[in-house]
Order: sequence, then structure tokens, then C-alpha cells
Amino acid sequence: MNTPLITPDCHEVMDRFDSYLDGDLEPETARQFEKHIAACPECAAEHKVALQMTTAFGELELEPCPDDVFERALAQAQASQNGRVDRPAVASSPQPRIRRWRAIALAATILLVLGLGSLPFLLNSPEAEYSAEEIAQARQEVEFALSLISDAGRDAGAYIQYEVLAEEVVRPLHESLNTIQ
Amino acid sequence: MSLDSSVLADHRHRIYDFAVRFLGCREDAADVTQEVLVRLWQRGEQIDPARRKAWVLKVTRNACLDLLRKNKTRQAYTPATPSIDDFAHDAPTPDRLAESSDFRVFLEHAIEQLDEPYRSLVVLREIHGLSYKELAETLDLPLSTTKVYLHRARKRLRSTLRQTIPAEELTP
Repeated sequence: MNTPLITPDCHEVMDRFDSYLDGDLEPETARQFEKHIAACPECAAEHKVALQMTTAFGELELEPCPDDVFERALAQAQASQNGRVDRPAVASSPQPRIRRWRAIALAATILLVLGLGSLPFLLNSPEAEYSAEEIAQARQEVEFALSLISDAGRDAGAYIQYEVLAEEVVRPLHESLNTIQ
Repeated sequence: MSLDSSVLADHRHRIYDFAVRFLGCREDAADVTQEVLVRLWQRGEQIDPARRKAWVLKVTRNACLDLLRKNKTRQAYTPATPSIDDFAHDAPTPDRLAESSDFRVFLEHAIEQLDEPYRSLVVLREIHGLSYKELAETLDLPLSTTKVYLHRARKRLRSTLRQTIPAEELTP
């Protein structure tokens, strides 16, 4: 006597697609699976997509790394081994780390060029009253300026150590901002 | 002691490909690739060769996340700056999708639409061929969670593809 097989419902079938495609289902379960697919248009469509996905994944190729990117990385890696730089930079060619005073000068220049209006005003008038929004805006400007400084350093082929910025720029600015809250 | 440069060459395409898919910007991907290759050169000797692939991809993914966080901070103060999506490589336009009969175009687009960590899981498993164990290690997830997430990611991909591709385009 044939015992009627329990037919898995669509949700169960869809939940087991990966196991089925990986060949991980027991033979009997796989037969039930195939039987259901043959009778259910919804699961048959899902099956088609799953099969095409498997095929297409096998055809996708890695995006090749350009030679110039690799050559720059190799040159930089070898330079780091020789002690010319101690942290990875992303400049087009390896360059010595920027001098400490240059980092500070660069930070100051960018702050001036950008005309970060509220920041100097806040710093020069500690007794004035400012709203939380104004203070928050000033903080945001500081962080934005730091982001630009980092990028400028990178573009100049130099890596500005964060510790230098933290010590010479970030902490003093935050302390100044804290005094007016 | 540093690695032989051939080891870097072995991983260069893997790193760059993952970064391009994660960031959607070749310029940023080049920066990340350079950074990761230097780190591999400096630290690769300490990494078990059997685990080097997973290590490289983990470092790459973390470098991409760092870059995105930085870009996000910058964009918050520069509204006119295009978002990372604006740099998407070969992002299929609706017209291109509508005209395409190439399943791979639809698939690439569907992968790009996945959220993290689903997109990374799919890319690492299906394109870079990582094992479940390597996936778990790369994404710092328990093995069981990795399998569940990957299953969920594939299911989402199928759902997206079925909504995107006309039924007649699907091969029987």
C-alpha cells in the first residue's frame, strides 16, 4: 500500500530551495519537492529564477584591479618596508609623512578659507549666549573641516596622523566649545 | 618580513572587485584596494595562508565601511555632493533594464539593491566563492546566522528578479 506523501506547501518549498539546489535534501524529500514544483506554477517560476541565478553567478567575473592601482600599492608597500612611510596612504606615489607644523598650518588654512563663520565668533566671545543649535552647528563645522583636512592631506600625498590633529586641533576646539556651553 | 609580491597580485582583483561592488565607485575602490594591499604586505606573513582570503576580504569590507562612514559625514555638511549611489558603476538605468534580456544585468542590479550584510554575503559566497565558515569569519557572524542570512538574501534576490524580469524572459 502506498502511503500518501506529505506534500510540502509553497512556503516550505521556497524555504528549502537552497538545500534542494545544493543537493542537500534527502532523496525522498527531493522527490516531493520536484512533484510540488511540477504542479505549482508559483513554485515553478521561483525554481526557474533560482536555476538561472545559479547559472548567472557562475558567469559573473571579478572586476579586474587596474595595473596602475596595483603598481602604486606595491610601490607604497615596499616603501613602507624601507621605513619611508609607516602607514598606508592612498596617494599616487609614496611620499614622506607631512611635517607636524604643516598639518597644523593646513588645518588653519582650510578653516580660514572655508570661512567657518560661527566658529571664530563663538571662540572669541565666550560670554555671549548661544543656542544649542548654534553650538551643534559649530561642532559640525569642526568635524567637516577635519574631514576636508584629511582629504587634503591625502591629495597632497601625505598622511596626517590623526593623533596630531586630535592634539593640536580637535581637543583645543572642543575645549573652547565646552567653555561656552 | 613581508610577503612576496605575488601574494599581493593573487588578491588584487578580489579586493578591488569587492570594493567596487560595496562602494559603487571605482575611484574609492582603488583607494581601498591600495590601502588593503599595503596592509596585506605588512601583516600578511602573520596570517595563516589558509585564512588569508577571508582575512583580506574582512579587512577590505571594514575599509569600505570606514570610507562610507567618512563620506556620509562629509555629505551631511555638503548637500550638493552627489551620494555614493550617483557613482554606481554600470548601474543599469530603467531603460537599460527594460531593454536587457541578459539575466546577469538584472542579477547585478538586484544584488546592488540588497542591504548589508545580505549584499556582502551574496557577493562573497556566490562571486568570491567563500565557504560558510569563511563567510562567518569575514562578517563576524555565528555560522548558523550566516546560513540564515544567506538564505534570506537569496530569497530576496529571487523575489526582486521575479518582480523585475518579464515572465517570458525566464528560461523554461
